[in-house]
Amino acid sequence: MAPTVMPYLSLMTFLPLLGAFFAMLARGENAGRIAQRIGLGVTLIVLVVAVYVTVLFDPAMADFQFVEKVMWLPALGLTYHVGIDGISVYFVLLSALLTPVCLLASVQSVKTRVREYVIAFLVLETFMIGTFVALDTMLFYVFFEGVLIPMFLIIGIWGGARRIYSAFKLFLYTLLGSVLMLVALLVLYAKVGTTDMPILMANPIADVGLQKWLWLAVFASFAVKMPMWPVHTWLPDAHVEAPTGGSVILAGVLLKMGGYGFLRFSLPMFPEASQFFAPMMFALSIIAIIYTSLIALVQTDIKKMIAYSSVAHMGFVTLGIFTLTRQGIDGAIFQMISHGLVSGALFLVVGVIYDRLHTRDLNRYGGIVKNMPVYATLFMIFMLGSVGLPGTSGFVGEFLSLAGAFQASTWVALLAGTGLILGSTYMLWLYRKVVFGPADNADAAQMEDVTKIEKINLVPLAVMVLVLGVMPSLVLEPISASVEKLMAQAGADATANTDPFAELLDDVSDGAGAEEVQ
Amino acid sequence: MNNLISDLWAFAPELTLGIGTMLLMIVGAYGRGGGLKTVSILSVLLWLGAASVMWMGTGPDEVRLFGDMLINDWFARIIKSLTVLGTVAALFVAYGDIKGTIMARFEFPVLMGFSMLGLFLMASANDLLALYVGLELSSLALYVLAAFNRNDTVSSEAGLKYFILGAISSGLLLFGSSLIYGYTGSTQFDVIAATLGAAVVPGPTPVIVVFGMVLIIAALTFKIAAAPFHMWTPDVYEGAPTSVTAFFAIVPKLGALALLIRLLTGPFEQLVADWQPIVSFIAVASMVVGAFAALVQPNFKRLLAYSAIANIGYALVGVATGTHFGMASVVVYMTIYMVTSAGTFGLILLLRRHGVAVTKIADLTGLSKTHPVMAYGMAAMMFSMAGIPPLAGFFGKLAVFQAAVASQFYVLAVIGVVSSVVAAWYYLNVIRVMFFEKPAEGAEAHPVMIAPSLPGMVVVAFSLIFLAGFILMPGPLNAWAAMATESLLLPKP
Repeated sequence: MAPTVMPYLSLMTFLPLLGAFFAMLARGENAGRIAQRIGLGVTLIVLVVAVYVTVLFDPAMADFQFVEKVMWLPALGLTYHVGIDGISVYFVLLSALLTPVCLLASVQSVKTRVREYVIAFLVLETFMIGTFVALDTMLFYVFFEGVLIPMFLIIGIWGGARRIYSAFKLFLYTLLGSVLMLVALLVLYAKVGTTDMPILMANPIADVGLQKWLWLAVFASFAVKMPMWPVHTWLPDAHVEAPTGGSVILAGVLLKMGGYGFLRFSLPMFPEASQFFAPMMFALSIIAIIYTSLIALVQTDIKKMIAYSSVAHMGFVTLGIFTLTRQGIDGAIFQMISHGLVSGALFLVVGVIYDRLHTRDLNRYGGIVKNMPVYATLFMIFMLGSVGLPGTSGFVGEFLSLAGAFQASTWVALLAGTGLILGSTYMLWLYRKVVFGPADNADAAQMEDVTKIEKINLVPLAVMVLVLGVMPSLVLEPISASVEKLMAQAGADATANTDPFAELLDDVSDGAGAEEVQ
Repeated sequence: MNNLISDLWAFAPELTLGIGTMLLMIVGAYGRGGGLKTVSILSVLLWLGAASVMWMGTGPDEVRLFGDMLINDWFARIIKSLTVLGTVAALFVAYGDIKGTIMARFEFPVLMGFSMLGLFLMASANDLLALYVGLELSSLALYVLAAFNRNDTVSSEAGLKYFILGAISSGLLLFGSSLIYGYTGSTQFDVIAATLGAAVVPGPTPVIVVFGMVLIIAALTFKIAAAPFHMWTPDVYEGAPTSVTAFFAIVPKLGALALLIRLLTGPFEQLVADWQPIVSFIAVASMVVGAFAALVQPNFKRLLAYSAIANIGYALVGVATGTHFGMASVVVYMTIYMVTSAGTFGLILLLRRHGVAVTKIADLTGLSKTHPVMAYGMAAMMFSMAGIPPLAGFFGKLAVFQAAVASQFYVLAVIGVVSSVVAAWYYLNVIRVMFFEKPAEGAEAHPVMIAPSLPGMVVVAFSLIFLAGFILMPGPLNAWAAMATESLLLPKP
């Protein structure tokens, strides 16, 4: 058992809430600035704790670590039970990382109701971290659904022209999926008699017919959150209308809740159903990858283009998860972490030029490389990360997912692979259009390069994208024990790993990491 | 003789309440200057006093009085306690509104007291006659309250409408009771249960009994404002003075619902297979009607009326299960709903334009700019009503749906959660108006002001603390509810 002297996870979860309380007390003319300082301070402390927890995390252990368990509602057997394993540890870190980034990004762009903005993000951080550490189904649901309240307000108050429509769409879509999951979780409770997730994961219900129904109900929630085709339509709207910080959190963390849910609930709790529905998931993932990539190709709204690319990238995640192979699941988790960094950063990058020109129309930009060389470089790193160029984090995730898909079906891998080509097409086109090209618009060409605050935000993310690209073992090693356990719980075919081709790929990915470590 | 004395002793809370309220009427009539303030203070003391008498005098778990006419068990005691708390809250939020208007009359708290007495009898009823007396006493006070703003035609219309429809439902109740009496030869619940139990075991339920039961259920459905007998609700909610609507929303439904539970689990316990589909249908109809009809309401009080219909639907999901677990979930649900309603109406009554409580949703436009604290408070109420965690409203829905799923009412649960998503739309709409819209042009000329009503603010503050803090300690209320329904002797899943 890892050291449990301090309730680190609860600290991380509830510190932002405390910060929100203090930010609420800020009064006077400088209330916004004071609140921003409080918010940044608190989220940075949370980040430090998260890093510390990740360092303390014992990669050899497949079980949950830093566990805390307190009786919560004895009548229904609910407990306040939190802990992290290899699957959740990096999502916690990602949430802790992106919240201060968002707050920092909003220093310049958010001018109205600054105090409330900070409070909303702090509350949001509590719910996000809570979602990833919760080990009780009801506790998980409380955090998972609670996210909607601050997100609704963030989009609705600080969003763009169609913000009301988008906020409602986000809320109602997600809620509809979630309540169906709630019913499934209640059925699970009625059948197994506990809401404790480790117990539920270790003891899937035997009735395969019921498993399938429950799988579908849970699927409704996570597919919307993910989002998968055809329930993805809330995402482009929400992304486009959200303020920069909201888009970053949405792309960076909230979408990951869907993938995390599949890994935490669908696979271990309904293993037979997961295998049964895997072909359907492949089909939906491939449609998502190809179809949304094609849609992204014709967008002239920069944010919308990146939003559609997110749907396509999440397609690789669902594909990887439901191959039920080691590479696939490793790839899916890696892809989620990588996408969290890359797409979060891309929205920040878009936010930078949006703050200067106040348009998302990509035809209004062009030739900005002359005046903004630093910006162009950073944008390029993230663009290439999104494309999946070897050497960036995006490559590892997509490659592993595809490697897993190959074992499941050559055709699936082939079709999904076309997504890579389409992805590079639209991303390169976007980059060429915005950064290079003729400087038709004088105001666009004369924009100032990134400010210090923007650099503080973007440079670390760029470094991380590159580091993870050459040292994937940083993520893959700590998660391996938990992924193996998950595979065993999901009843995945153990022979899959003896496939010589798969072993080769495994060696390649592991070997690359191992060399870098030495 | 001894028997009578001990019965009267056990009846002390109702006696205190009845005699005390009549004395207050005299105080009011002979007091100077309308006497609203004096009578209100004395009323609150009297109500809390009656509750204290009840809790001090609790003897054994179950006491039967007056030849099994009334029953005092934990269920009755807890329902009565909630009634007292709700009524106090209703008077608190109403006080600031009626003060200084034509409604500032001492009859207001007195009528509330009589209604409470009726609700006490309903909670304890163990006989069809006691049931009827309690129900009528409570309802008559409510009819008068609905028309309390007597110079206002809308208020008078609301009172009349409520009275006529209420009279019809009372007629249904009496007709149903007489059929049941005709078959079983008794109005006493235990005798009815025994006779019906003996009749049901050998063969199908006699038609006349089903008929009687349906009529009684229909009458009570009217009282709790569940579909398809909900038609009066929006009109009465809208027409009655807002301070009276608050009382309607907070208190009387709990008593009527308790009575329904008592009937279904007592005399009609053996007919579970007959009433379960009926209650399920009422639950579904209420949830769906409440969710869809509220979508187009521009008036806040009408919106809350449909919301009340939907909420009763959720509570009836718990009733439909017929289990101990389900009934306990109803108590949990109704308690949380009561607190949320008190807070919501408290807020509406605090927000005034030209000295009148706001009634249109559009009146709240841009409230987050002008009165941010009120706006955030209202947003919390709305999110809670929509059942979004971590607010208390979620735990009410959780309890009910958990009970439904445990009894394998999967379809009911799914319809419930889906309609709750539809309902979420109009709760969000209120938040949209307050937060996402800018105040209309020229709105400064008619600003929304906050009434300086301390009692109202106390209720709102308490309600907010409850909604936000419930997640920290959900245990006590659930334990309390379980204790209440323990005395109904129901099967546990």
